[in-house]
Amino acid sequence: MKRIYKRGALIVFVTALFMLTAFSVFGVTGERHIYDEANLLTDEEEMELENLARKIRSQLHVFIAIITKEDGTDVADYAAEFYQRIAANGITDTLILTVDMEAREFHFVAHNRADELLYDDELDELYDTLGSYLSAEDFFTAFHAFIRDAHDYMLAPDMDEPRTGDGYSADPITTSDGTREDNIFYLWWVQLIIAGLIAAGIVGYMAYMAGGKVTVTQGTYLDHATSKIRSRRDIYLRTVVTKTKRTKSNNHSGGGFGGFSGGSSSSRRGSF
Amino acid sequence: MKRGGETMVIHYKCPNCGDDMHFDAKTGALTCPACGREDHIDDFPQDHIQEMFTDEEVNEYHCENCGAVLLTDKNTAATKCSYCGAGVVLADRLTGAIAPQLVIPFAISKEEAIAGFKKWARKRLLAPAGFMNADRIKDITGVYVPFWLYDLDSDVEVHAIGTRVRTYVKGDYIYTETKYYQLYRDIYLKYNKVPIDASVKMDDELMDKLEPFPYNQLKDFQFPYLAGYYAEKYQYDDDELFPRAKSKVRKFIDSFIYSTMTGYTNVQIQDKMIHTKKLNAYYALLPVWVFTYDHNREEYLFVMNGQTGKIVGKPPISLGKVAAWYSGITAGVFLLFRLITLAIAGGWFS
Repeated sequence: MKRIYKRGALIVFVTALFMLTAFSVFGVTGERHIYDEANLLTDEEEMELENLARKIRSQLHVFIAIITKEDGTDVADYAAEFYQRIAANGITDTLILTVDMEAREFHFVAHNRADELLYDDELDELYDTLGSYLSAEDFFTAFHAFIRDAHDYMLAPDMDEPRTGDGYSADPITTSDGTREDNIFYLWWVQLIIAGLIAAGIVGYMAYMAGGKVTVTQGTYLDHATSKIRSRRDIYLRTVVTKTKRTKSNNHSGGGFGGFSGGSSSSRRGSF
Repeated sequence: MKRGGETMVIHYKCPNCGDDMHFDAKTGALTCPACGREDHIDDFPQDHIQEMFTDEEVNEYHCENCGAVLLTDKNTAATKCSYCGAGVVLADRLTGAIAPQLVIPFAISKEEAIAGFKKWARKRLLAPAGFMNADRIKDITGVYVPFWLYDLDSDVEVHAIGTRVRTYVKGDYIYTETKYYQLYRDIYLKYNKVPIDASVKMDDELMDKLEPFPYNQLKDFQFPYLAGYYAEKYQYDDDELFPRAKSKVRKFIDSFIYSTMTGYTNVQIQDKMIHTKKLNAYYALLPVWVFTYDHNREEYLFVMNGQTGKIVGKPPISLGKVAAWYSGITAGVFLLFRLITLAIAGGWFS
């Protein structure tokens, strides 16, 4: 028994030490998004994913990290450790994908804002897409689709219209005419209708005002010298407080993995 | 002034040349159109006031100048002879129990009124081009409109519930904190000289929009102010119009009440007791220029405050101009939206 404990402690210690060095080598400062330790990507591919993740970060303020490794350590523990590191740098809205080539396991976890923006069925979609590309060992497509789909799901207004698109385009964030597609106020015909309503209001007001308006107010005939408030009372009665939940939040865990310190998170885990 | 069953017609004759004088809006004096003589109203020599008596039953007046029948209805108190143009005052209709106490004389002359109307018409952006020229004024008449000016006392007691709402975020929840207050106000309000028009002919809404009349121009009533203008006697007495006066100040009172309950998110009145008493009601004649205007064989009526020049009345509306303004504004706003959209979209990823 004692030996087993010792061995366990040793493993934990070595793992912790490894992670410590690994992350310090990674330099988890929030500068990098792609940590390809298992060398699954070419430099160009890594660069493209890096750029994509950076764009999304500036747009949605969600940090997407992709970590590949081949040491066989638990992917969920690894992601948790990574999250703690990065959270220490003030980055808490994260979507972390971890792939281990030795155990052939993958795991992703969405924290806080990313968790709020991604619904259950959207996480399932991400899980399915990832699984099929990883099984085909098409790593770049798997990661690219993961980032792009996650972005699309986070932008989608509600779960009734998940973005399905297959394959990927060079710039999935904008539509062909360069406008954001998530906000109806950017659609030209919506703007035309609003402009029409504003014009109707202005012209209606012009027609209404054409005949002259009443310009006397309550003070016009008031005798300011003698009019007065003889008595006034404002008596406090009571206070009523109601509370409503702030935003949609789905606090669940696909791989037996809970949230950190008050934040919310959701995760999926699978093998390929 | 009244003798037996007869009615008196008054002419103000020029002491110089004998022509009919009229009240001049610019100088505020009786003026002779023939020789230009001006007389202050208070100094006008009594022996130049010509009085003529006619039979009241017949309800027919004769101009003393030319003998023509003065065409008036029974509410006319001052008019002009339609043949020779002499200004005459039908004095009996403004004397005795129904004599006006106050008058605000005209400050805007007929020429200024026409010029003012033309300027106003040019600014009616939705009116047809033909109207904006304002060259079809059919008739312009200076009318002293009878008003009752009410001095009103109001005792007001109000009970209300006021709420102050504060929202704040704590953790995952938005908290809404509502504080309730019982409010009580005991208010005394005095309104001076609230005007209500006492003429059947004049549209109440138009008259309300003509306000305010400058009360610093109020004068004790004298007949010569009416010379050269039309005047009507009141057709409703001050008791008949008191409900209208009350409802008019009621709006003022309501907004005063709300002005005493600031600092609350929402105020709900529970009960409100308003007792309004009439302290005084003055019978006053107020100056109004009345324009009738022909446009497309339709007649439009406009009125102008004879002191301030404010004009009220619904001008004709051109559908073509409405369409032009509508499409112009729509296009402008739409263009602005597109520019903003492009600016934002273009700035996102650069």
